[in-house]
Order: sequence, then C-alpha cells, then structure tokens
Amino acid sequence: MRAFHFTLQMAIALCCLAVANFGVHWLSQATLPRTVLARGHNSPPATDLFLGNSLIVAGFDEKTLRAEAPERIPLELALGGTSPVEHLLIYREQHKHQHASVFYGFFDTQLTEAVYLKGVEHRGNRTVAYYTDPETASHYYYPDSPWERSLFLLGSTISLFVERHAVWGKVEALRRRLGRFGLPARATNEFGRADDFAALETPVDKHTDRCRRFIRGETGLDPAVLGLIDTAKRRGAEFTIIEMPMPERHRKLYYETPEWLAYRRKLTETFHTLGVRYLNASDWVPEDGFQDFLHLNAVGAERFSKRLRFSSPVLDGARSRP
Amino acid sequence: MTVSWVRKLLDYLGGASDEAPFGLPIPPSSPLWGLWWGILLVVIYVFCGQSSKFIYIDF
Repeated sequence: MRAFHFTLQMAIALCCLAVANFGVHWLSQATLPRTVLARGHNSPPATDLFLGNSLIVAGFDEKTLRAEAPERIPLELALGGTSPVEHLLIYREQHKHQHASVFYGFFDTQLTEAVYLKGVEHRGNRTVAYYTDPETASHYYYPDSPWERSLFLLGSTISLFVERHAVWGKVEALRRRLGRFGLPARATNEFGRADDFAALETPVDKHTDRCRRFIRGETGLDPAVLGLIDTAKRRGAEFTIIEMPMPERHRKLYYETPEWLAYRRKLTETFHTLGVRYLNASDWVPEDGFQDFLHLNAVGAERFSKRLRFSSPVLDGARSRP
Repeated sequence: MTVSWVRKLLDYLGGASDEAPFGLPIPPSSPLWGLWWGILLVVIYVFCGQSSKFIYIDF
C-alpha cells in the first residue's frame, strides 16, 4: 500500500467524523439548554424572571404564581446542573425580558464558592456557555489562563465535543435500562435516581470552612453573581436572591450553625449594599414537600410559590407590565 | 462463507491477524478501509463516555 492510499483512507475516515459532527449538531437542536433559550426567546415579555439551577426548576411553580398574581407574567429559565456563569449567560440573552424583575435561587455557599468544571468537564447543561457567549464564558471559567481560554473557544466550534454528554447520556440511559432487567426498580424522580442527589451536598466541614472564609473576607461574591446583579442594574430591573427551601435534615446540619448564621448575615448586608433583596425561604416547606435530599416536589413547589407571592415586595401588589 | 472464514475475518479486522482471510475482495489499498476506520471512530466516540451520575441532564 502506498502513502497515497493511506492518505486517502485517512481523509475518508476524517470525512466520516465530519459527517458525524454535522449529525450530532443537527440532532442536538432540541437539547435542554437550547429549549430553555428558545423558551426565553419565544415567550411574551415577562414581568418576572426566575433563574438558577434545578432547585428553581423543581421548586418554582409558574402556574401557581400566575393564579395567585394574575397581573404578573412569570417566566422560569432555570437549568439544572449549572453554575452562576451559565445563569448569567442565559440572563444576558433575555433582551425581550430585560425589564423583568429577577429572582435567583441558591443553596449553601453557591453564591461565594460556586464549583466550576474545568477543561473536558464542561458538559451537560453547562454547554449553554458554548451556545450563548463562549468568549465571555471563557473569561469567567479561566480568568488567569489565556491558553485554557483558547482551548475552550476551540472546543466550542466542534459539535462532537460540545454535545458529547448528550450522546453519552443516551447510551448510559440504555445501559441502565438493560442493567435493570430482573432487578427491583430504584427510586427515581424527574431528575434521575433520587439517591444520587445526596452527592450534591458538600461535606459539612467543608461547608463550614467556606462559611468561615467568607466571614473572614478571604472570599467574596462569585464574579458571575456580581455580573448578574450588574446586568440587572443596568437594565433597571429589581433583583431578589432567594435562599431556597431545604429539608429539615439539611437545615439542621448546614444552617443551624453559628458559621452559617454569620455567613447569612454578612451575605444579607452585602446584598443590601448592592441594592439587592434577600429572601430566606429555607424553612418554608415541611418534609412532605421534598422529593429527594434537595428538590421540592409538586406539593412543595406549590407551597413555595404561593408563599413567595406574598413574601416578595416585588410580587406582592400591582405593578405595571413592561 | 463458513464460520471459520468469518472468524478469520474478525481476527483480521480486530488486528489479531495480519493475514486477510482468503477471498476477501477488499485489498489493503481500498478506500473502503477509510470508511471502516471512520465508522469505528464514531462507534468509539459514542460508547467511550464516562457520564455523570446525573444522567437525566434534562433537569
């Protein structure tokens, strides 16, 4: 075989990859991040935007709020498994809703020590960074590394790389289905296997340490959170931070400590200085309102949304539509 | 096409043998091998993922 034949074969193999790249790009037009962005684009102008991760996806009941406050037009654009950077990018895309008040849900020390994935771990719903503004995202993810920023931007142009988790997720779902033959079912909810969410809780000592670091001034608000607040200010929009409902077990371990109370106090003062409202909703929902270690179920979401209506000065009372 | 011939073919395709089975109509210089490699690369890509436990990324 001559070099020409080998080169031709390699070229054909690369063409197969190019076709696969196009195929993955075409098949991933309906991924969840794209669906959320499309919802923002296609919805009528909202009075209230609800942003955050799966806590908001599970916990905010748009129907309940519309029923309780017919004069408001709420729109939930939260995305599970995401960080403040992705929330900022989603918010910045909402030109149609730029005057809407923003409600941003969080839990634990997310606002001061968000976990950012590195390199090849940008996957799942975090791929929204690739779809919206990879240049801005790269500066938040890699503030000190031009090399990693360049790699991130290069990766954003290759669909096989950007959407790999969507493909692998389908394969994993198939593996799990096949693996369940003959075995009792494990508890699942809309987000997956309920037990898996215990892993999202930070170890208590790490959580306490993060609180102390913020209290001592060693850490501050996450730059992307500041970006969210700054964007809202420039748009003239009200901004409310919501400490999301947590089950009693989580509150006892993580929130009923002097460190967390001091952390929350400092956080509230910081937000007050920035003109941001802070709502502590952590104990709003009893145990039967949760579907796993973190997420509200339908009953809990309804209770939370109803109480939010009357606890928020923004939502309570008539406001003119945009 | 016997079972033995198919086995020899699989050995050849998998790299366990350098000798193509007798009667294989595709010479080493054929562009079809490029197509074969391309398909293998795509199959490897599809099945090589170590995905997160939170498989239902639709949350």
